[in-house]
Amino acid sequence: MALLSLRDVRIHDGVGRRDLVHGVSFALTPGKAVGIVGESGSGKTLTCQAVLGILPEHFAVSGGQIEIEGRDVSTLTQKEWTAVRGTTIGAVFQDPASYLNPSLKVGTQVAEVVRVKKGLGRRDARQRAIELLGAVRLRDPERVYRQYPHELSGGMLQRVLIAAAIAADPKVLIADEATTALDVTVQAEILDLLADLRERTGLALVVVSHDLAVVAQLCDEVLVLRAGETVEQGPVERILYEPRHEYTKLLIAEHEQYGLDRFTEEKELDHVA
Amino acid sequence: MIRRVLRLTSGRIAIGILGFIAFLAVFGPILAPQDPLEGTTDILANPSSAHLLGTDYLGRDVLSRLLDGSRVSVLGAVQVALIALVVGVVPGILSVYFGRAFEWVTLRLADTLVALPFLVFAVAVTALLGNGIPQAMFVVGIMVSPLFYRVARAATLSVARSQYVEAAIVAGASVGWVVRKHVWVKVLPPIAVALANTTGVGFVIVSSLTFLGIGVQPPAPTWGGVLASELGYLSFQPWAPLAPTALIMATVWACNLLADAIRDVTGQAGRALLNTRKVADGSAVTA
Amino acid sequence: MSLEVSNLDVHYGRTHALRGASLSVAAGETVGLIGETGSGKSTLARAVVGLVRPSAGRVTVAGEDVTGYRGRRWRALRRRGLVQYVFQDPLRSLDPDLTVEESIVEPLLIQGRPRRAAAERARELAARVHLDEALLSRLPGELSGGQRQRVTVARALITEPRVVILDEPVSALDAATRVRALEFFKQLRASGTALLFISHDLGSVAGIADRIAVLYQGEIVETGPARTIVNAAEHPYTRLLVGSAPTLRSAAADRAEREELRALLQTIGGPA
Repeated sequence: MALLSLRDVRIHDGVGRRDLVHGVSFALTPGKAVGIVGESGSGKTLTCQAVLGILPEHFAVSGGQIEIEGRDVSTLTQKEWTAVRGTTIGAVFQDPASYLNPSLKVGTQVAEVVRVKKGLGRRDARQRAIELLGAVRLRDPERVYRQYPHELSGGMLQRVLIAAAIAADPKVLIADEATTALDVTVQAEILDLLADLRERTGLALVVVSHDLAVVAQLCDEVLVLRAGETVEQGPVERILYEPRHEYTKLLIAEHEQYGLDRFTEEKELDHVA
Repeated sequence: MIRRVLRLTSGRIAIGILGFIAFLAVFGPILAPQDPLEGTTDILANPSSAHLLGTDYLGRDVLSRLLDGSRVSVLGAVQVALIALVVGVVPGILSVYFGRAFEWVTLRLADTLVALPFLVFAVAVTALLGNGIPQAMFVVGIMVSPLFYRVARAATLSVARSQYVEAAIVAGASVGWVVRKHVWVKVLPPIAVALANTTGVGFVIVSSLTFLGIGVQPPAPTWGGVLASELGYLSFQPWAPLAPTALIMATVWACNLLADAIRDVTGQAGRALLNTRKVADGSAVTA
Repeated sequence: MSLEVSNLDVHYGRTHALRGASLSVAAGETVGLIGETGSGKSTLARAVVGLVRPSAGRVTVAGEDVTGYRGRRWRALRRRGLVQYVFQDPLRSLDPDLTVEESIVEPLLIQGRPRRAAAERARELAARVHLDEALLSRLPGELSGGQRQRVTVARALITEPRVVILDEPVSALDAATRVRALEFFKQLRASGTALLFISHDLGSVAGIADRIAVLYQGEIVETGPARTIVNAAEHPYTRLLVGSAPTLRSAAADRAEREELRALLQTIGGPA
């Protein structure tokens, strides 16, 4: 059974009186990773928010169906939503610092999630939080536990948020531009961590990015979104080697002409020769 | 900029009221129907055809006193505001550019002025410079100047560190250029607001100094002075303070209105920015 | 050399932000300066235009040794408009109260050119950077990110500089705009302008830079032709950078290799 499935999901903007997302579909099974590529305003973030039940005011799912573990989310009550978030679906976003309280130690904030979601006592929650900080490969988790958000770098904060997101052992993790604000080497560390979590725990991923390469690195299936429209969808190999839509071709050409791919291709050819 | 202010309804109202006040300041003393200083036996009289606003505790015609006092009051308040402006704003802007020593000295001076007991300073200055209206206004202007200093300095600081100023510097701009082209427009709106407030406070201070015998000498009338004397007879004439109060309020309100209008027309860019931010947020609101 | 930096040291208080950095850009050459947060790349750029005072070393701009310049002499040199700096964030580097045209002509007005001639030049520049002329009377807040970026580029080019420093000029742009911007910079290079292209992302520089310099913890650890840096880097940090940049066909280093490089960098530690 699919952990998460979207069928022709449409999202309507009640103020602008128009659909901003016109039909997004995909299904996610355990251990699988789906990527959504698109520029700002393409509807990728709205899609994630719809899946998490946190669409901003005036926005609503106006068509199609979202199912989490076979349950239609439109039937969920507020209470049931709260139960689903964290335990079935976790999420991390672009600006990690804004999701943490600057005046509390990061460890206690992770421990709080554990206490609420897992019903653990204070001491057990602390123990579990330290384990989680270790699981996201923060060096010296005991020390990080006692630190405040301003003492940590952007990459470390994103790890802390990933730790909080997986605290209640969700089956799906949504990463919405989670590495966009980070340095390239740090971005690679976070992407490696996600790949690692997926392999070790069977965590299914929804990776959202403006960069096709980021998505290609992690995912099996890719959706290319433009102005709310899915312009192309398919297995990552197919998208990369036989793009059909002009926009996808542009995204690929950008990397081939101006990115590292320009040189790495040569390198591969050298190997063959 | 004045033309842009006049395009706003609030700007037109403000300039209308201030124009009327200015008219009073120029022609008030001529328009006064009776001698503002001459007492009659008819004390604390109600409004009548002879005394449109009644009389005060010495039987002097209140309308005449208000009209006659308008020049001194308005000039005094304006003088206070202008002195504060020059003494406060100029060093406030320059403190950012003229190096550490100047910055340190002006900051300490501003602190000192705030800490100085107002009345002691006023008495000391009048002892030094003689007791007159210009001296009194000078004292008050100096006393409120730290406000202008701080407002101007804060606004300048935020602009001076901005990237567009750095871009101008890389293009070879001098300090003068940066202040004229970039800083001044940003400093003006908060200064206009401070100026409006200070003008209002000025009326009150001028009259309280009068009470101490500094500046305007009784029996010469001022708006604040009339208000102060009427307040003493509230139990006989509860309505009497209304007239001077209305004048002072109208002036202060018009100043504030004008300040807001200036802020609105110069802050246009800021608002346009805000609007685009709102639109952008619509598609990218965080959880 | 249009720009030459040798053994440059910059201190911020006790922090040693830049250690003996050397770099040169010839006319018609594009050099990519790669460094991550805190590596000192902005410090280097700011030292070149005199916004930061170096504590040691030399800076030569368009053949003129500016190392000891202060106040008036710097201003005189800058006024000639030989070196320009395009800041990273176009919104913050444009005065919100000035129209697009007023911003673009500012360097010319600073030079004391007549307003009318400057306005004429602004229209030429707008056309050159593909900015709609109707936008000239708008305020920056009313423009899109890509348009604002073109405004800052137009402002920098209006004095026909010989050296242009571009700080992360494409990282905030989306794919289509990014390709157009890079094409534009290539044309600019072809016209003989020296470009110093600063970025945290090797990928965004690889396609346009002739040579690449890699800054790591305030030190330039490697300089070389773009191809060599990407395919045969020597320093482990450069190799990690190459291996970390997301590529489509994942021919770059794999996870295990990155892990190794990270461990290696840990043991080397930063420069003392």
